[in-house]
Amino acid sequence: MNARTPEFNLISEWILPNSRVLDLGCGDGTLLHHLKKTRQTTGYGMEIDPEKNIVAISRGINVIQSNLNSHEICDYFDEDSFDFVIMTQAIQVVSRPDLLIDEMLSVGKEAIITFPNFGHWRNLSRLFFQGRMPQNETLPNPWTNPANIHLCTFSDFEDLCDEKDIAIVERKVVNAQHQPSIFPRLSPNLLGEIALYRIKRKTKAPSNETFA
Amino acid sequence: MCSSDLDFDNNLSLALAKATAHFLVISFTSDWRFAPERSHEIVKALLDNDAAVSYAEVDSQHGHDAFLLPNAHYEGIFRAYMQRVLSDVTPEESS
Repeated sequence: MNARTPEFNLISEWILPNSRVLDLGCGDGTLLHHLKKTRQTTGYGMEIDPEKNIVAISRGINVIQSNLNSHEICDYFDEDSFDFVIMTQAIQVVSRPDLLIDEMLSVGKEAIITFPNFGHWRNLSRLFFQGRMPQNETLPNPWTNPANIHLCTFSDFEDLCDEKDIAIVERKVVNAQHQPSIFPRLSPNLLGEIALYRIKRKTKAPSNETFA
Repeated sequence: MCSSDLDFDNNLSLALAKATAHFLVISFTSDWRFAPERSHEIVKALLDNDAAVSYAEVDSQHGHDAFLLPNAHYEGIFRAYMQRVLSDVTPEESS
Protein backbone atom coordinates (compact mmCIF):
# COMPACT_ATOMS: atom_id res chain seq x y z
CA MET A 1 0.00 0.00 0.00
CA ASN A 2 1.41 3.37 -0.97
CA ALA A 3 -0.03 6.86 -1.20
CA ARG A 4 -1.26 6.27 -4.75
CA THR A 5 -3.17 3.06 -3.97
CA PRO A 6 -6.60 4.76 -3.53
CA GLU A 7 -6.22 6.42 -6.95
CA PHE A 8 -5.19 3.14 -8.54
CA ASN A 9 -8.24 1.45 -7.03
CA LEU A 10 -10.49 4.10 -8.56
CA ILE A 11 -8.83 3.60 -11.96
CA SER A 12 -9.16 -0.16 -11.85
CA GLU A 13 -12.94 0.22 -11.45
CA TRP A 14 -12.94 1.48 -15.04
CA ILE A 15 -10.75 -1.26 -16.50
CA LEU A 16 -12.55 -4.23 -18.01
CA PRO A 17 -11.04 -7.68 -17.42
CA ASN A 18 -8.44 -8.83 -19.97
CA SER A 19 -7.96 -5.31 -21.36
CA ARG A 20 -4.79 -4.26 -23.14
CA VAL A 21 -3.33 -1.33 -21.26
CA LEU A 22 -0.53 1.18 -21.87
CA ASP A 23 0.60 3.18 -18.82
CA LEU A 24 2.50 6.38 -19.67
CA GLY A 25 4.90 7.46 -16.96
CA CYS A 26 4.31 4.10 -15.31
CA GLY A 27 6.91 4.70 -12.58
CA ASP A 28 7.81 1.53 -10.73
CA GLY A 29 4.94 -0.36 -12.35
CA THR A 30 2.65 -0.38 -9.29
CA LEU A 31 -0.51 0.39 -11.26
CA LEU A 32 0.17 -2.11 -14.06
CA HIS A 33 1.03 -4.76 -11.49
CA HIS A 34 -2.23 -4.00 -9.68
CA LEU A 35 -4.27 -4.16 -12.93
CA LYS A 36 -2.54 -7.36 -13.99
CA LYS A 37 -3.54 -9.01 -10.71
CA THR A 38 -7.05 -7.62 -10.36
CA ARG A 39 -8.11 -7.27 -14.02
CA GLN A 40 -5.81 -9.75 -15.81
CA THR A 41 -4.63 -6.97 -18.11
CA THR A 42 -1.75 -7.21 -20.56
CA GLY A 43 0.31 -4.43 -22.06
CA TYR A 44 3.24 -2.16 -21.42
CA GLY A 45 4.53 0.71 -19.36
CA MET A 46 6.58 3.65 -20.56
CA GLU A 47 8.88 5.46 -18.14
CA ILE A 48 12.03 7.55 -18.42
CA ASP A 49 13.50 7.04 -14.93
CA PRO A 50 16.11 4.21 -14.92
CA GLU A 51 15.69 3.32 -11.25
CA LYS A 52 11.92 3.06 -11.59
CA ASN A 53 12.42 0.94 -14.73
CA ILE A 54 14.50 -1.51 -12.71
CA VAL A 55 11.76 -1.89 -10.08
CA ALA A 56 9.08 -2.25 -12.77
CA ILE A 57 11.05 -5.00 -14.53
CA SER A 58 11.58 -6.85 -11.26
CA ARG A 59 7.79 -6.73 -10.77
CA GLY A 60 7.33 -8.55 -14.06
CA ILE A 61 6.14 -5.47 -15.97
CA ASN A 62 7.16 -4.98 -19.59
CA VAL A 63 8.48 -1.45 -19.62
CA ILE A 64 9.84 0.60 -22.51
CA GLN A 65 12.23 3.32 -21.39
CA SER A 66 10.99 6.40 -23.12
CA ASN A 67 10.68 10.17 -22.80
CA LEU A 68 7.03 11.20 -23.12
CA ASN A 69 8.19 14.51 -24.59
CA SER A 70 9.85 12.78 -27.55
CA HIS A 71 6.43 11.86 -28.99
CA GLU A 72 7.45 8.38 -30.11
CA ILE A 73 4.34 6.60 -28.86
CA CYS A 74 2.81 6.49 -32.34
CA ASP A 75 6.11 5.17 -33.74
CA TYR A 76 6.04 2.27 -31.33
CA PHE A 77 2.34 1.41 -31.45
CA ASP A 78 -0.29 1.17 -34.17
CA GLU A 79 -3.67 2.85 -33.99
CA ASP A 80 -6.11 1.34 -31.47
CA SER A 81 -3.47 -1.02 -30.05
CA PHE A 82 -4.85 -0.62 -26.54
CA ASP A 83 -8.22 -0.64 -24.83
CA PHE A 84 -6.93 1.94 -22.35
CA VAL A 85 -3.98 4.33 -22.34
CA ILE A 86 -3.46 5.61 -18.80
CA MET A 87 -1.50 8.60 -17.53
CA THR A 88 -1.66 9.33 -13.81
CA GLN A 89 -0.46 12.63 -12.34
CA ALA A 90 1.82 13.32 -15.31
CA ILE A 91 -0.07 15.58 -17.72
CA GLN A 92 1.12 18.64 -15.80
CA VAL A 93 4.80 17.72 -16.20
CA VAL A 94 4.99 17.07 -19.97
CA SER A 95 5.95 19.76 -22.47
CA ARG A 96 2.92 19.42 -24.76
CA PRO A 97 -0.07 17.88 -22.96
CA ASP A 98 -2.29 18.61 -25.98
CA LEU A 99 -0.14 16.55 -28.36
CA LEU A 100 0.22 13.76 -25.84
CA ILE A 101 -3.56 13.47 -25.48
CA ASP A 102 -3.77 13.11 -29.29
CA GLU A 103 -1.19 10.33 -29.16
CA MET A 104 -3.00 8.59 -26.32
CA LEU A 105 -6.28 8.57 -28.23
CA SER A 106 -4.53 7.43 -31.38
CA VAL A 107 -2.97 4.25 -29.98
CA GLY A 108 -5.79 3.72 -27.45
CA LYS A 109 -9.53 3.37 -27.81
CA GLU A 110 -9.93 5.24 -24.54
CA ALA A 111 -7.64 7.25 -22.29
CA ILE A 112 -7.61 7.70 -18.53
CA ILE A 113 -5.95 10.85 -17.21
CA THR A 114 -5.60 11.99 -13.61
CA PHE A 115 -4.21 15.31 -12.37
CA PRO A 116 -4.40 17.78 -9.49
CA ASN A 117 -6.80 20.70 -9.81
CA PHE A 118 -5.03 24.06 -9.80
CA GLY A 119 -8.42 25.77 -9.44
CA HIS A 120 -9.15 24.24 -6.02
CA TRP A 121 -10.22 26.94 -3.53
CA ARG A 122 -7.20 26.33 -1.27
CA ASN A 123 -4.85 27.09 -4.19
CA LEU A 124 -6.86 30.14 -5.18
CA SER A 125 -7.05 31.49 -1.63
CA ARG A 126 -3.30 31.09 -1.16
CA LEU A 127 -2.74 33.07 -4.36
CA PHE A 128 -5.37 35.63 -3.48
CA PHE A 129 -4.73 36.19 0.22
CA GLN A 130 -1.03 35.36 0.55
CA GLY A 131 0.11 36.17 -3.00
CA ARG A 132 2.03 32.91 -3.16
CA MET A 133 2.00 29.85 -5.41
CA PRO A 134 0.11 26.92 -3.87
CA GLN A 135 2.04 24.22 -2.09
CA ASN A 136 0.16 21.38 -0.43
CA GLU A 137 -0.60 17.66 -0.46
CA THR A 138 -1.62 17.47 -4.13
CA LEU A 139 0.92 20.09 -5.29
CA PRO A 140 3.89 19.31 -3.05
CA ASN A 141 6.62 21.05 -5.05
CA PRO A 142 7.74 24.65 -4.46
CA TRP A 143 7.42 26.94 -7.48
CA THR A 144 11.15 26.63 -8.18
CA ASN A 145 10.77 22.91 -8.83
CA PRO A 146 10.28 22.64 -12.58
CA ALA A 147 8.26 19.42 -12.45
CA ASN A 148 4.76 20.88 -12.79
CA ILE A 149 5.03 23.10 -15.85
CA HIS A 150 1.47 22.85 -17.13
CA LEU A 151 -0.86 23.08 -14.19
CA CYS A 152 -4.48 23.40 -15.16
CA THR A 153 -7.95 23.41 -13.67
CA PHE A 154 -10.71 20.91 -14.42
CA SER A 155 -12.44 23.55 -16.54
CA ASP A 156 -9.23 24.13 -18.55
CA PHE A 157 -8.96 20.43 -19.24
CA GLU A 158 -12.59 20.13 -20.26
CA ASP A 159 -12.24 23.13 -22.58
CA LEU A 160 -9.28 21.38 -24.23
CA CYS A 161 -11.33 18.20 -24.70
CA ASP A 162 -14.10 20.27 -26.21
CA GLU A 163 -11.72 21.95 -28.67
CA LYS A 164 -10.31 18.60 -29.68
CA ASP A 165 -13.70 16.97 -30.13
CA ILE A 166 -12.98 14.58 -27.30
CA ALA A 167 -15.83 13.06 -25.33
CA ILE A 168 -15.62 12.76 -21.55
CA VAL A 169 -16.97 9.28 -20.90
CA GLU A 170 -16.75 9.57 -17.13
CA ARG A 171 -15.24 11.82 -14.50
CA LYS A 172 -14.46 11.21 -10.85
CA VAL A 173 -13.57 14.19 -8.68
CA VAL A 174 -12.13 13.43 -5.28
CA ASN A 175 -10.30 15.09 -2.42
CA ALA A 176 -6.57 14.74 -1.71
CA GLN A 177 -7.23 11.46 0.10
CA HIS A 178 -9.06 10.20 -3.01
CA GLN A 179 -12.38 10.10 -1.22
CA PRO A 180 -15.42 11.23 -3.15
CA SER A 181 -16.96 13.63 -0.63
CA ILE A 182 -20.05 15.74 -1.24
CA PHE A 183 -18.12 18.99 -1.76
CA PRO A 184 -16.35 18.13 -5.04
CA ARG A 185 -19.74 17.15 -6.42
CA LEU A 186 -21.27 20.54 -5.59
CA SER A 187 -18.62 22.61 -7.35
CA PRO A 188 -15.90 20.38 -8.84
CA ASN A 189 -13.63 23.12 -10.19
CA LEU A 190 -13.54 24.90 -6.83
CA LEU A 191 -13.85 22.04 -4.37
CA GLY A 192 -12.28 19.03 -6.06
CA GLU A 193 -8.58 18.37 -5.54
CA ILE A 194 -7.89 15.48 -7.90
CA ALA A 195 -9.80 14.45 -11.02
CA LEU A 196 -9.84 11.19 -12.90
CA TYR A 197 -11.06 11.51 -16.47
CA ARG A 198 -12.01 8.76 -18.86
CA ILE A 199 -12.04 10.17 -22.41
CA LYS A 200 -12.40 9.03 -26.00
CA ARG A 201 -12.52 10.54 -29.45
CA LYS A 202 -16.05 11.50 -30.50
CA THR A 203 -15.50 10.35 -34.04
CA LYS A 204 -12.72 7.78 -34.04
CA ALA A 205 -12.53 7.27 -37.78
CA PRO A 206 -13.94 10.00 -40.04
CA SER A 207 -16.93 8.47 -41.71
CA ASN A 208 -18.06 9.21 -45.28
CA GLU A 209 -21.65 8.49 -44.49
CA THR A 210 -22.39 11.79 -42.80
CA PHE A 211 -25.18 14.00 -44.08
CA ALA A 212 -23.33 16.46 -46.26
CA MET B 1 23.70 -8.11 -50.73
CA CYS B 2 22.60 -11.73 -50.80
CA SER B 3 19.37 -13.56 -51.30
CA SER B 4 18.82 -13.99 -47.57
CA ASP B 5 18.23 -10.23 -47.39
CA LEU B 6 14.90 -10.91 -49.04
CA ASP B 7 13.66 -13.33 -46.40
CA PHE B 8 10.41 -12.11 -44.85
CA ASP B 9 10.33 -9.34 -47.48
CA ASN B 10 12.99 -7.52 -45.48
CA ASN B 11 10.33 -7.01 -42.84
CA LEU B 12 11.64 -7.32 -39.29
CA SER B 13 8.17 -7.58 -37.75
CA LEU B 14 7.41 -10.51 -40.04
CA ALA B 15 10.74 -12.15 -39.19
CA LEU B 16 9.97 -11.98 -35.46
CA ALA B 17 6.32 -13.00 -35.76
CA LYS B 18 6.94 -16.61 -34.74
CA ALA B 19 9.06 -15.76 -31.70
CA THR B 20 7.50 -16.85 -28.42
CA ALA B 21 10.40 -15.84 -26.16
CA HIS B 22 10.37 -12.89 -23.79
CA PHE B 23 12.77 -10.10 -24.72
CA LEU B 24 14.96 -7.53 -23.01
CA VAL B 25 16.57 -5.02 -25.37
CA ILE B 26 19.32 -2.77 -24.02
CA SER B 27 21.11 -0.07 -25.99
CA PHE B 28 23.94 2.27 -25.04
CA THR B 29 23.64 5.91 -26.06
CA SER B 30 27.20 6.24 -27.45
CA ASP B 31 27.32 2.92 -29.31
CA TRP B 32 27.37 3.88 -32.99
CA ARG B 33 27.67 0.29 -34.23
CA PHE B 34 24.48 -0.84 -32.53
CA ALA B 35 22.86 2.56 -32.18
CA PRO B 36 19.74 3.10 -30.02
CA GLU B 37 17.82 3.90 -33.22
CA ARG B 38 18.38 0.32 -34.44
CA SER B 39 17.26 -1.02 -31.07
CA HIS B 40 14.10 1.07 -31.37
CA GLU B 41 13.43 -0.76 -34.65
CA ILE B 42 13.84 -4.12 -32.93
CA VAL B 43 11.53 -3.06 -30.09
CA LYS B 44 8.99 -1.73 -32.58
CA ALA B 45 9.05 -5.01 -34.51
CA LEU B 46 8.51 -6.96 -31.30
CA LEU B 47 5.69 -4.64 -30.23
CA ASP B 48 4.06 -5.20 -33.64
CA ASN B 49 3.77 -8.83 -32.59
CA ASP B 50 2.58 -8.04 -29.05
CA ALA B 51 5.71 -9.75 -27.74
CA ALA B 52 6.75 -9.50 -24.11
CA VAL B 53 9.55 -6.95 -24.39
CA SER B 54 11.26 -4.45 -22.15
CA TYR B 55 13.66 -1.80 -23.37
CA ALA B 56 16.36 0.19 -21.59
CA GLU B 57 18.54 2.93 -23.04
CA VAL B 58 21.68 3.22 -20.96
CA ASP B 59 23.58 6.50 -20.78
CA SER B 60 27.25 5.77 -21.38
CA GLN B 61 30.29 7.44 -22.90
CA HIS B 62 32.05 4.19 -23.64
CA GLY B 63 30.60 3.49 -27.06
CA HIS B 64 30.61 -0.07 -28.34
CA ASP B 65 32.51 -1.32 -25.26
CA ALA B 66 29.96 0.06 -22.80
CA PHE B 67 28.47 -3.37 -22.13
CA LEU B 68 31.85 -4.55 -20.76
CA LEU B 69 32.17 -1.80 -18.18
CA PRO B 70 30.51 -1.23 -14.80
CA ASN B 71 27.29 0.76 -15.05
CA ALA B 72 24.62 0.87 -12.33
CA HIS B 73 21.69 1.32 -14.73
CA TYR B 74 22.79 -1.50 -17.05
CA GLU B 75 23.56 -3.88 -14.18
CA GLY B 76 20.32 -3.01 -12.35
CA ILE B 77 18.17 -3.73 -15.40
CA PHE B 78 20.08 -6.90 -16.23
CA ARG B 79 19.93 -8.20 -12.66
CA ALA B 80 16.19 -7.47 -12.33
CA TYR B 81 15.43 -9.18 -15.63
CA MET B 82 17.54 -12.26 -14.93
CA GLN B 83 15.92 -12.61 -11.53
CA ARG B 84 12.57 -12.58 -13.33
CA VAL B 85 13.79 -15.35 -15.63
CA LEU B 86 14.93 -17.32 -12.59
CA SER B 87 11.56 -17.02 -10.87
CA ASP B 88 9.83 -17.98 -14.15
CA VAL B 89 11.76 -21.24 -14.34
CA THR B 90 11.50 -22.00 -10.61
CA PRO B 91 7.95 -20.92 -9.79
CA GLU B 92 7.72 -22.87 -6.55
CA GLU B 93 10.58 -20.88 -4.99
CA SER B 94 9.26 -17.48 -5.98
CA SER B 95 5.83 -17.90 -4.48
